[in-house]
Amino acid sequence: MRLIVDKKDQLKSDEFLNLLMQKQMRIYAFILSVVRNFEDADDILQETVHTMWQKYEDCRPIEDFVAWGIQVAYYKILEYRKKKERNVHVDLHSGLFDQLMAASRTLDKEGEEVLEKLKRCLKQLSPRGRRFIELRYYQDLKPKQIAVLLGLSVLNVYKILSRIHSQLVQCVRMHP
Amino acid sequence: MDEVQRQELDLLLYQMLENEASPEQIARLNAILSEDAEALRYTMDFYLVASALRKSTVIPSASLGTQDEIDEQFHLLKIFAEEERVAPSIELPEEEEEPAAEPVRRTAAFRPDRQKAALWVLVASMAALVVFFASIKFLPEREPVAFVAETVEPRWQNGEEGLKVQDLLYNTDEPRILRSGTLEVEFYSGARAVIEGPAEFVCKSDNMLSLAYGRVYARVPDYASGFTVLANGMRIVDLGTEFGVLANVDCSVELHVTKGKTSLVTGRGEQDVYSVQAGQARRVRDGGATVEEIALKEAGFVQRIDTKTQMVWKGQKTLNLADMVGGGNGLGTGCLECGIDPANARGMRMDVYYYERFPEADNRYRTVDWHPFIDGVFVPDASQGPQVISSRGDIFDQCPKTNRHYYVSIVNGTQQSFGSGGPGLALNGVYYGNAESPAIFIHANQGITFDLEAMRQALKGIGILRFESVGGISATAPEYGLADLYVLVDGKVRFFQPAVQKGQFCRISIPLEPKDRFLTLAAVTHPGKQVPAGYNEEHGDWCLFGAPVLRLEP
Repeated sequence: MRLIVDKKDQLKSDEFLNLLMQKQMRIYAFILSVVRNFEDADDILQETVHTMWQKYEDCRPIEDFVAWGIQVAYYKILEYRKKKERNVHVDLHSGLFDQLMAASRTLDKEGEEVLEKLKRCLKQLSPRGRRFIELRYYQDLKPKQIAVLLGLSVLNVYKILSRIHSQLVQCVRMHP
Repeated sequence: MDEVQRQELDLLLYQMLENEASPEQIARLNAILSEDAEALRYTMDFYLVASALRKSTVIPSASLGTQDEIDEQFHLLKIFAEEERVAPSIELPEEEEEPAAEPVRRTAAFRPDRQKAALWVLVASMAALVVFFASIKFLPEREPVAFVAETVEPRWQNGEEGLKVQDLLYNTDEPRILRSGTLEVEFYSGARAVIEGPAEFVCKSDNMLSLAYGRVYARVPDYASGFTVLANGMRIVDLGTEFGVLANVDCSVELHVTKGKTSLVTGRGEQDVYSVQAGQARRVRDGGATVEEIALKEAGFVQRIDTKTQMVWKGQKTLNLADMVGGGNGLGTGCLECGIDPANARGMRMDVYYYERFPEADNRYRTVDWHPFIDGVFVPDASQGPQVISSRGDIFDQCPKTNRHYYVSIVNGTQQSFGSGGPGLALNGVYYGNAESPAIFIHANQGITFDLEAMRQALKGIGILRFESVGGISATAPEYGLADLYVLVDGKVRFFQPAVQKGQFCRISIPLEPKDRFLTLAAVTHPGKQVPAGYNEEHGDWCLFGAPVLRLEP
């Protein structure tokens, strides 16, 4: 059986996917800044993207894809918090949350440049640092798995990865 | 935000990313971000970078390794994946039908970038198997990974001075040869390993010990799970446990697991991974070709050592208080017929004081400075004021008045009856005062206090559950014996048996709590005791505590 896809739908799909590929990182960064852990952020991003895809047709044209995505993500975080009753580490009614919202608006402006900077910064890492990043993010191994593989303690892996993240953040900030 | 604050922020942010932060750490992070605008900006950049790493294609593919490397990686991942599968407290993705293709499944998050590149995914799944050896190549340059925590009489190769307590061990050190004695190493991961000479070893990382030959006993807290011992080509991976490894010079290896469980990896085949759990032991021979079940040697390894007291604990279930009275550490290092004189707190030998009736002494509490586990001794008598029974000043409120006379002192023994040449002490048909049935001979009007906390410290966390003994007046004693026996904990009477006569005995079992500090044993002439003319009041009060032990946590 051949799946016949309407050309209009195909165009919509491609457009959405292209936008999503370019912008999802910033939406994810917003989610991460609120829930602060990958596990929950992954779940929320997935639900956010699902809703964005459902509403994409109705909302077009979209002026600011990231701002829209963050808005959807915000409600998904509220739902998630209600459902899970945990793991939203920032009080959504606190001043800190307002600050995070304000700061997240800058993500879109900065985001385009960050990827290029980060590519250069990754190349500047020591081979060891780069391998750790590969293990964690490319191989998707958790710190405990990395610890077992390398015969290191989990705490040490946390420290090493936190140092590497710090190097990358500082490098990205300093990079012209 | 200075460097120290930034480092704290980095670790907090990263531990939260991995969902490993405590409520206190979360509160701390919120406080930092609320108060420090620069920290907030830094945090947003941190999340942006973390997001880019997780949701973009900035990370290049890993390099491939050899088939051997792939095999090694595969098995280690399998061990870990299996352990994670059965461990509810640790969250891991479910295993796939074909673990060889992807032993650790990726998250289900939407990743259009990955979906677009089939080749990329293929390389990724292969690379998951091969990173281990590539990783080994970037193990840290010379850095400290452990330090010497305790030593007991270590002798090193060629008479070298060798390692001392607090010396650092580096991952790039040459193997060290311990000729005899014992050494306890604390890894930076928190794992501890007691190494018995003769042994050759090297600490390869902060969670890995390589043993060419010798014995090692590892204690691994949960947070250091994954601690690994390499021995003669075998790999023992800790999964939250205590275990002993014996690496023989004939290249055979024994693994004895006393708590928790381990994985024993003997080769690179799928069948070469064995789960060995508490109470089990295995011997591996012929380079891993033969793996056989053997009986667990519970007392086969030194499990705790203590530099200060020179304590060497091999899993014994009790500490013998009579041995301590004889100058030992409770594990059989004391001497029979040795003891302590309560009038001056000095050590004594039975043959010196044989037969002697001691002159009246005062009731002062005298500390025994020369023994780590004995706090002090005393001659009880309430007529001279409150009877102090510990260095802390605990008072024995119920202490009666006595004539402050006693015979012999407090002794680990005695084997022979005074003068007759027969057995010295007997209760309920058992002869006491020898190696098989030790006893504290404590003639009436003497007391001794043991320091339980000092013992706990020397045992490095092993708890003391109860005091057990048989108390009474020896059946070999002369007539007219009549005495009271006391056992006190922190000044409170926990056992009291009045008016014990010749040959009478009672069993004593006193539960002890971790907070209990001082254990006191005392014997006094029963108040109001009558003796025929010409006899001393304390005549015949041959009291003893037979088989006096502190039962330890299993």
